[in-house]
Amino acid sequence: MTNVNPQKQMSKEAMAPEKFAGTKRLDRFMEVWRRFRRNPLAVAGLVMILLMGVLAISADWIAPGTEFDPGYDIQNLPARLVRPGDTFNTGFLDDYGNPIYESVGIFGTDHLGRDMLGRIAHGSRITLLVAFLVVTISMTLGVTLGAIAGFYGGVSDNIIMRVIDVILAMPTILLAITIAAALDPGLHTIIIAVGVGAIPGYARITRAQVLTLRDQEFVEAARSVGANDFRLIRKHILPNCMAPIIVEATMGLAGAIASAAALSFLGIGLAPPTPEWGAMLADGRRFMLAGEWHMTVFPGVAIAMIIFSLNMMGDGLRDAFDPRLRSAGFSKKRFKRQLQAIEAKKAGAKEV
Amino acid sequence: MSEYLLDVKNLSIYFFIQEGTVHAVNDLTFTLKPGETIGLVGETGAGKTTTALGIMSLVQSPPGMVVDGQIVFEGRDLLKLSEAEMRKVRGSKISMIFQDPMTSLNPVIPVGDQIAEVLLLHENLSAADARIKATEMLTKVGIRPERAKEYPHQFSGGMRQRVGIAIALACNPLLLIADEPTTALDVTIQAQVLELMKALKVEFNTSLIMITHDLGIVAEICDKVAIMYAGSAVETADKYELFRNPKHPYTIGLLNSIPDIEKDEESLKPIKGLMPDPMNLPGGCPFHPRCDHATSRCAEVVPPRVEVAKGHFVKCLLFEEGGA
Amino acid sequence: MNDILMDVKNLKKYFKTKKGPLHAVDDISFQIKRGETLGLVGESGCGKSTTGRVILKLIEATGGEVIFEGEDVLKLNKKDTRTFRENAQFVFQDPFASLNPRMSISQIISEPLIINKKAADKDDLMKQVRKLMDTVGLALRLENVYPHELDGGRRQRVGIARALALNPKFIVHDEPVSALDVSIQAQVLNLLGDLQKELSLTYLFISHDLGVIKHVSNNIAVMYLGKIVEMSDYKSMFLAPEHPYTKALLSAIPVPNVDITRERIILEGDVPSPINPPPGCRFYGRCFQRKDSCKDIDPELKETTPGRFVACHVVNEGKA
Repeated sequence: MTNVNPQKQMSKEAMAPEKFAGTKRLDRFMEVWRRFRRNPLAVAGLVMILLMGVLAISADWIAPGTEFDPGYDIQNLPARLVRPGDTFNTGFLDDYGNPIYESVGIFGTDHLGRDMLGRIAHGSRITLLVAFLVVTISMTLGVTLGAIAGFYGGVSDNIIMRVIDVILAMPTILLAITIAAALDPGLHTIIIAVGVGAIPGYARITRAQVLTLRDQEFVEAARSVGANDFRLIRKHILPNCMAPIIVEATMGLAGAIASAAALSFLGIGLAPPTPEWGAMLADGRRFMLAGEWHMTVFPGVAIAMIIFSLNMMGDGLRDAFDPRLRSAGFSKKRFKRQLQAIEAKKAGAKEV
Repeated sequence: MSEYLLDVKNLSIYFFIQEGTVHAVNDLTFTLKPGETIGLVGETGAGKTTTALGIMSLVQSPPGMVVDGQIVFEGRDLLKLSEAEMRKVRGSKISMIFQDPMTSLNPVIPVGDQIAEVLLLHENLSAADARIKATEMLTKVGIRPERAKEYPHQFSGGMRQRVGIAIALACNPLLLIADEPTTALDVTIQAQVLELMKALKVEFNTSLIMITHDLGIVAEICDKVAIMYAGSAVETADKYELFRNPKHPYTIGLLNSIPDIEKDEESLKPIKGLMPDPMNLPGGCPFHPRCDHATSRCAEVVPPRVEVAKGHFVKCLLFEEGGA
Repeated sequence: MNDILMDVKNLKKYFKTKKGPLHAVDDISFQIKRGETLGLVGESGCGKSTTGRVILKLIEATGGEVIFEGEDVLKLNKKDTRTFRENAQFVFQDPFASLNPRMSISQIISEPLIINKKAADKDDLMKQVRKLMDTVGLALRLENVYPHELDGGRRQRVGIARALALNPKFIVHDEPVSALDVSIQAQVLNLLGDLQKELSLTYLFISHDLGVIKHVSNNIAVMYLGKIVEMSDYKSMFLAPEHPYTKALLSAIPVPNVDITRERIILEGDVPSPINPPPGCRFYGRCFQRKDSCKDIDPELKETTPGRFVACHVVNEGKA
């Protein structure tokens, strides 16, 4: 049919002008990161979350507890309700017979004399642990269910999605309260109670994605070379719907934190003396009118800040993943420079 | 006022994006007389559509910007008009037909109302008169007037493109820009639409810029042709001159790449290599890395626009005045 | 062994819709000889892509037989289907949609080898992938590149390499060049021609572009609304089309030549819906040569001259 053999085509290929030298998976991540970085709010959110992580890791170091210093889980009644910056009477006398006053942590102490900073720091461990476990479990379940429903359709789709609809029909917090009330209190209860309500979100997103992907030609192409359903889902479909799932998971972390805090606030979450932020908020509420503002403000701010940060980060991720925005970034600098050059040219022409 | 309805001179349009500067249109020059049809031919990324948007002042800015040149239409430089003045030109004096007739029509408005809307915007008509004129336009493009109340999804692709034509011609424009109007259609439907466009062009005495990648359509409907490569017209000529006597190596390569249904060729002679990246155009002649006649000078000198025969312009150093 | 590789008999594919059965492919028969190319041409919705998918078992047929090397592939069990798929491959139309955006070029090309366990170890796998890339003219430095970084022509080469990985005898090309620019299209068409010769492949080439079809095919079948209306060798098809639809189709192509003026047949109306088609000739409503009898009786595909089949009452009566 033709006299050009593939070898010659090869050499042409090699001669063609090139702009890329081969990229790796890492570059794909870098591309998302590059777009994420341009969003200052999202970066601020990420920094906040990282700081929270540092706080959780160094909790023991931040609030070690000493002879006079109240620790985060040690009752120290003389040091009850000390506001930040105040000192308290230790009950000991110095060599001259004067009472010894000691300062407390920068967040003050609670009604049992426990260091608020230490409790917030240790509380962040619990908060993050609950949030990550909830998201991991509900995401795994939700994505699996959604993928099955979307890929196979028909009866399995109907059954799965109706169950999902039933869960969705109940307000999330009521559902969580019901589940938490039915089970023994503890970490696993909170995780189940909060996690069940989060499954529908993942299932619905995954199902919608799978529905559009399953009829794509590359899936058909994989099938035509003999790939089975499991491979189609795992290798070809799921990797292509990760972006919205990751965004949902980020927002899901925030939701899980809020729900867990709400359950503890209502007293059906983790039992005292666990330093859970929601429970701390509930404790502080009783002393708020007495002017002990620090017991509510610090846990409240902590909850609000981490949720806000996660949502900011989620929004940033959503934009960074969006392929439509992929090359829309425009260079203000060069655009302006060009405008100035044109202006200058016009001005020059007028003078002549 | 010159003999030309449209005179595009040295037009350059760039897009300033994060990754670099996209040289979409580079030093493009062509002219169009009243009633004439020019075909802008080129492959993906040749800058055809950007040129059309440039003439309509619809280049999204930022990141896009017309960095140089003039677009003289009826003796006025369109680039100097304000947005308000331009809005009066758009749709009434210059109008456009788009490639995809599905997305260019509003899915929730009956087609008759969509035609009437253009008339209400630009002509001093009452709503009732506009509706009457709209059904007249539908009849002209071969759609039964009673279908005016139907929605775009009730029409087939070819019929939708007819509606697009009716909208574009409603205000009797001086210049019609058609951006790949038949690419989405089947051959037999394409033949119908081209036939219709030919007839209406004469009836409305409209000039036409036909943007296409299909040289067959050019041979069919155009009077003259501008072959575009990397944002610039590398060869401009009368249709007969261009097909009988192509000069630029790219034009020749393009003609050789098409499987000819009239001849029985054993093998095609494709142009080697790929379209250059408009963000990183090769220096000198943009075609030189793919050209069989390229010399070392081609990489350095941007070829000037040379008139090799009356009305036949080529941008190639092979035809430099006094040169090789 | 005879020299007919693929023998399709009375193939049917109906899709269920709410308005009734959609006759995508309605009782078509054709044969493809070893090492040759059959071009299947028609307008959108005529069932040409469905035909390609049904004979490769990508979608299930409603009826008929597809005899490949003496065996009816529609009756194969799961295991034998796998063997059949190694012998018969598919190249997709859209080089953008047919490659998984999350897999690198070498991963895409190696997938059929991994699934069908054709590589002894990792080194062997990479060796085979590199050989395939070389065969289709892809530079080896592209092996870790992702599809979105490639232009359409190279992406289509990746699709071709994937189809070649299992050493097939038969390849269905579904509009492999229609998404490409002409200069790139010519490169890919030449590559497909070279591969056919070197690897003695048999092609079913599906396209709406008659120029492309003529260039690649030995025989051409023209489809209209799920039926083959005319079938012959490529030369006589273009020199003397007989079916009125083929005539109109050929005359509708804009030819890039200003010195040939051809009589143009402009067909009325649009292609009718393939849902619940009326009895009689499918082309009746748009035909410029129709007679009353065409409305009720569906014309059969008959051999008018040796090697030439036409389904039209007017043509067949003229010959009789």
